[in-house]
This record gives sequence, structure tokens and C-alpha cells, in this order.
Amino acid sequence: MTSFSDFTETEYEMYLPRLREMESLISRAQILTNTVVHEELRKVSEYAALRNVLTSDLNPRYLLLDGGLAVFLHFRRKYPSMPSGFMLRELCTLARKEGVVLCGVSKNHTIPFAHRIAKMAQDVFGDGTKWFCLLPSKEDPGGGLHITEDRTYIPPVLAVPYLFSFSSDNRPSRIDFDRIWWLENVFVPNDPVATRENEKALFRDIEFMSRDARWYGYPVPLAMAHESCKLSYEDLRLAREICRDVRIEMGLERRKTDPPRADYNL
Amino acid sequence: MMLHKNKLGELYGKVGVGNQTMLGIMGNNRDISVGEIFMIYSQRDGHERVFFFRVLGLENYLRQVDDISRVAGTLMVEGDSYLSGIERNMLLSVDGRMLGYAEEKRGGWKFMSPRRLPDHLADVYRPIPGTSDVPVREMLSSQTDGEVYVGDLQVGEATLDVPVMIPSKFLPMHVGIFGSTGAGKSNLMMVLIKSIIDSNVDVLRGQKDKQPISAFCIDPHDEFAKGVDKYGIQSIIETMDQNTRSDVIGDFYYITTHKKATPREVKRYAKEIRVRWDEIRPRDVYSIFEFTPQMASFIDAQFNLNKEKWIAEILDLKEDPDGTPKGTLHAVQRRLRFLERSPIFVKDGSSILSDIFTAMETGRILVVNTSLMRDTEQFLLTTVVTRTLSDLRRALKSSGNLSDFERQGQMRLPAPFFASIKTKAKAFYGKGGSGDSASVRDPRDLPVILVTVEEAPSILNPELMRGRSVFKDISRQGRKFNMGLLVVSQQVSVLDNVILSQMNTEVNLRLGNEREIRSCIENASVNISGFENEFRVMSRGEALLTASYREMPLPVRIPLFDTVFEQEKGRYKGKKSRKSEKHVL
Repeated sequence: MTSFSDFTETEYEMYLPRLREMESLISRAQILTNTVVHEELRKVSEYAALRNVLTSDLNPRYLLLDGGLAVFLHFRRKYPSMPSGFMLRELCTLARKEGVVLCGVSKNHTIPFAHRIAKMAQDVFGDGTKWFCLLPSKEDPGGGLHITEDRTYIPPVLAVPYLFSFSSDNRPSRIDFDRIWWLENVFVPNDPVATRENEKALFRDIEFMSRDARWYGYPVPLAMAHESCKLSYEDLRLAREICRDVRIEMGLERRKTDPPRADYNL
Repeated sequence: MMLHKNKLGELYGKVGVGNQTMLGIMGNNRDISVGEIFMIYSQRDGHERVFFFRVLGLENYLRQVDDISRVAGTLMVEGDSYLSGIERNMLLSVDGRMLGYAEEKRGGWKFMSPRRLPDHLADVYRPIPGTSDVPVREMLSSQTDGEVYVGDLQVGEATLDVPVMIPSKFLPMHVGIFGSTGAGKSNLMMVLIKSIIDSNVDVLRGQKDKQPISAFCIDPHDEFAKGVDKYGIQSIIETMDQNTRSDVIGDFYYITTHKKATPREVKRYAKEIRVRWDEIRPRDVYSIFEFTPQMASFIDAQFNLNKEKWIAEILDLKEDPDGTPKGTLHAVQRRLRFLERSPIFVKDGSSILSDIFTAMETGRILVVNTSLMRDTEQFLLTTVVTRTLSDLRRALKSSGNLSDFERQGQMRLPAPFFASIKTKAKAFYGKGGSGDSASVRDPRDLPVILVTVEEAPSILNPELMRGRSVFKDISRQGRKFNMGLLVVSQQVSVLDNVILSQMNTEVNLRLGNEREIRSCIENASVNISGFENEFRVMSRGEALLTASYREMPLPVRIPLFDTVFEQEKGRYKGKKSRKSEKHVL
């Protein structure tokens, strides 16, 4: 597929106008490298799966996503710069409507000085304590943290991030909630005590999900999802083998598919 | 498809990795023990086969967990941790050895050595007693058939109703019973004696077209007749009806040093062991003592000079005869002096040797109470009996007719003894009459004779076997004469290689130490390398039966004598029809 004209006279022809419209919204087109495109494809697939869950009759209480809820925006901050951004915001709306708590857990949290926060928690509450810590934004009472002043996407737009740790053996992780949901369900204006109670109830649930001895401190559903869909080196080897067979069947030229290090027995 | 897979047992797991020798199976998290036997159903290339697999090692396996120790550590340290939905991921990784496979050929099952591999991810079945017995019995028939019952096929801690037997035709190729104290040797001997009696009963009743089996069974603790617990061989004898008893045991089965000391009920079937000095040959003593070449040549000279009176003459000599190195006489006398004090080896008087010969040539069992004998007496008795019986069969084998046999017998055996049994021997050995011209029978048509050698290392050690031991010939040539040794020993490592290499059936019970386990594995007639762990966990009464004529090493549970006796005591009563027939006659 090289251009929109390839869709003419196919079953997808009817979607062409909408595709063109979407294309016009992709403001990061100039940086669309292979990696970015692959990442985007992964995201939209995940979001599509998420949407399927939300529209199914499963009725979960929580829906956990591997990765943060950051949405990259057009530099003028008018709208998301990629289709996945639109999808995520739409999912947030849908989740609110369905009464589902949508959260994104990132092990790579990119929060500066997280280890210092963890140390402070340890100093105050003692070893082995389970804790969470809100990273407030400028709009929150008391304002934002100076350590995140120069970070555009911390806190992410329309999301509320927390640092948390349920096990002293692990580095803290980050969990993001939809800010609109958070304002409606967790935050109580002018009542920090009630807000804290709501936060505790929320984290009590998430902590309970994170007690499996195999992945202690990490939510079980995400761990299980990871186990069942991760690609091991062996999976990659098999994928390369299949790819090679397909190329041969298609009559394409033979090309080495092993990683270059294999050429040198590395 | 010919086989009903559900008859094999319960579906347990799938074949994972491995080769034709060792396999790894991934199975359910069940209570499996080392030693269990699994069956693997395979249909590679259209060939339906059932592979037999023996568990040698077990490992817990958690799917999707690389580091089980870490998970265990977390469960310990983090008090609130759990394992959600782990049950389905809990598996058992089972390693073990392929024992071989059964394949149906021309309507019967054939068992083959492990030279093929089950199909990819083949189904593994765990036998269930009560369900799997019949198919296992059929598939393993070539591995378990025979006349002499040893025990039942053991699958882990349970047994299947699959009797494991030794074919009587392989008894002359010698049997070894190895096991440390308390491993169950005495019970096994009693079970074997019972099996031999059972087999003989069947032969006499015409139910089996085989030769009867004779056995000369050394009983070092005098426990076979009365038994260890409730029943003994005497119980079998007493259960028999008159006819069966006289057919199977004749008028005695128990021989002892002191008949007076025998319990009353056994005394009726007992005889005293007496062997005259003139029935002993120099080779007999060479088989039990070490003699220097000077001593042996002195004895040989005395034997040539005095023939059967050689012992009496040597013991009467006062000083070394001319030409004999000084001290030789004393050394020889010192070794032979025990004969003077022995209650069983007598200078003159009656002897039991001819009765033993008659019993052994008519398919009977003799229980030899050696509990009151000294070691040397026991060894000499075993040797004299073995040599006498083998020399007679050798004489038979070397003859064309009974006249030849008489000549051969006179040449090979002590004259007084041969004179006393000549007529009987001719009756046993002659084919169609006992006249001189009557041709002789093939030893293979005569009863199989099994002689027990107890405490075998004392006489089957390399030092004695290097010389002119009677047992060296028997171990090599017994087969020709239909005569085998039943070697009972606590140790394998100290036995001579000649006997070990000629031994074709081994019943390996629990062994004492690593050295014996190693020797046992090296000596086994089929490859049982890898079974070291099994030997280490064997219980009393458990054995591994290996035989050169079988592909599969068979784990066997030897039942208690009392149990098998109680189950089968009905078989010794003669059929009623027979009784009434006799009455009419």
C-alpha cells in the first residue's frame, strides 16, 4: 500500500474521506519514523482491544493499561497529534460512562527524583511500607512540584499521576488516572481529608491486585496479560522462521532475517 | 486402532523432551513416586506402539515462572501474598528411562528394547491397578512369562496384577539374589520354593508340558520349614492331600544336622545329613579352602594312592611322607581336621547323598537346615552335592547308552557312592528300559536342578574360583547338564567374574552401600544404568529383576510368603475326581 488511491474499488473505499480527514489531523507526520509508526500501531491495537472490553458485557470494575495515559498534543495544544490520542480520550469518556476505572501503569515512569520520593516515604513510614504519592499539577490546590516544572508531559495533560510502591524490593511505579474521572470521583474540593480517603480506597483495591507472589507489587491482571502476550527471544526466532518461509513461498529474494550479531556467532 | 487407550490407565501428561533412552514428561501435579511406570501411546507413521517409561526423577514445575525459589521466598516474606489461578500452572516435570516398547505383531504383543522414540507430544498414561492389569499383562507377556513366580510388577508404590516369572529353562543359566540384611532374601527364597512346588504340582497334574524343577535350598537360619511368621513350607506340605504330597515331596523334604532337635510336625519329613568321607573328592575341598600347589599335589598323591580313603589316610599320617616339603602334612591336616569333629561328615556309616540324588532327579525340593553347621561344613556339603550331581549328569552327557554311563560313572564318582545309586541312576537316565544297551536321556529332558549357594562370596570369590573349584565348571557348563546355581549374596562386588558373567537372571533387592549398588548395576544382564536412585529408595521386598533373555528390567514387589500361601492354599488339594477314581480302582 503506497497511497490512498490503492483503496479505490476495494471495500475500504467508503472510508477514504474519513481517512483523509484523519490524516490531516496527524500533526507529527514529519517525524513518522518506522519506530514511531510501530509504536502507534501497537497503541491503537491495545486501545481497540480496550474498547472491545468496554463495549462487551464483561463489566469490569477496573481496566488497566500497560503504559501511561499521556496524550501528545499538537504544539498549539488544540488536539492530540496522533490518532491514538483521540482514541484514548474517547476511551476515557466511554469508561466514565460505563463506570469503569481506567488506569495506566508505567514501570518506566520518567519522573525525576522518584528515588528521593521513595526514600522519603521509607524514612517517614518505615521499611516495607506500601505507599502512594500524588504528583500534583499547577491546577491542583497548592500548585505543581518544582521538580516537574520543566517537564511538558509530567503531569500528563488530562491525567493525574501517582507514584506508588507496594514492595520495598521494587522501584516505585507510576499510575495515571483520567483527570476528569479523578475530579468527579476522587477529588473533593476544599476537603483534603475526604480526598485522601477516596485515594486510599482506590489504592487499597490496586494494592490487593498486586499481591501475587510471582509479581509481587505489580497488578496481577497486567502481569498475566504480559505473560500471555510477551514476545520471547524464542518467539522472535519463530517469527523470523515463519517470515522466511513466507518470503520463500511468495518467491521473494532470500534475505537473512537473523539479527546481524548471529552472523558473527554472537 | 486395536488398543483401547483408556484401558492403559489415566491420562497423565505429554511427552516433552528426550531421546530413545531418557525422556522428559510434563504431567499433572499428582502424587507420583520414583519408580512408577508410565505407558506412552504413540502412533508414529501408522505404527501403534506403547512405550514403557520408568520414573527416575521428579521436579515441580510452575508454568510461566522462571525462578520458583524467588516466588517461594516472596510467599514466605510477604505475609499477604497469594498465587492467583496457579493450580492450572502447577505441573510435574518427570524424568526417566525408556524401558522399551510393545508393538502388536501377528496377533500378539512383541516387546522391544528402546530403539525408537514416541511420537511428538505423545499421551502419557499412568496405570491404575484394577484397570490396566490385563493390557499390561498382555503387552509384557514376553517379559514376565515363565514357570517360577517371583512377585508382581511394581508401578511405584502400588503393584499391578501382573505376575513376574522366571522361565524354568533359564534356571540352569544361574540366578543371583542380591540384597543386604533385611532386604527380604529369606522371604524371597520361601516364595521361590513355593513357586517351584507349584510349578511341579502343575507338571505332575499334566497342566504344564515342562520338566519339574528340583532345588537344594540352603536355609541358614532354619526358617523356611516353619516360616518366619505364620506359615512355612511345612504348611504347604500339610495342606497337600496324600497323593500330591507323595508325588511332590516324596517321603522327606527337610534335611538337618540334628533330627532330634526338629519340631515334631517337621520331623515326619526330615532326614539327618550324613556324608561319608569316601564321598568327598579332593576337588571338593579345593573349592572351599585355599591350598598351596605343594599341598594340592600332596593331596592328589594321597588320593591316587588311597582312592576314597584319602581323607582317613591323611588324617592318620604322623609325619610328612618322603618327598613332601616339611610342614605340608600339618597344613593339610589342619584344614581337614574339622571333618573329624563334624557331626555330618562321617568316616563311615550311612549317607544321605544317594537320597539327595534321588530327590534331585525326581523333581523335588530339599530344605537344608544349616543353622547348626559351621561355615566350612555348609560349604563342603553344598560343594559335594553340586559336584556329585554334576558329575553324574556329566557322565550321562558323555554316554551313548547305559553301559557307557556305568563306565563313565565309575570313572568320575567315588566307587562306594556310585555302587549305591547305580541302579536308580540307570532307571532315571535310561530311555525305554534300564538294560545296558538302552540309550540315555538328554539331561534337558530331566528335572532342572537348582543348587543354592548361600553366603556365596565365601566360595565364589576370585581366589577360590582361580583354582580347581567345582563351581567354576558348573557356572560355565551347568546349562549343558540342566543344572544351575542359585547364588545368594549380600554383596556383588566380591563375587568372581566367571560366575557373574555366566549369571543370566538377577533379582536385585535393596543393597547396602554405593559400592554394591554400582557393582549390581554393572553386573545386571540388561542396562540399568541410571537406576542408582531407585536402589537408594528401595524398601524391603522390592526388587529389580534383570535377565539377559529379556529387554526390560522388571521392578517387582515380592509378596509375603504368608499372603501368597493364604491366597493359594486351595491348589494343593487333589481334585475330587482323582480321589474317587482311585477308590473305584
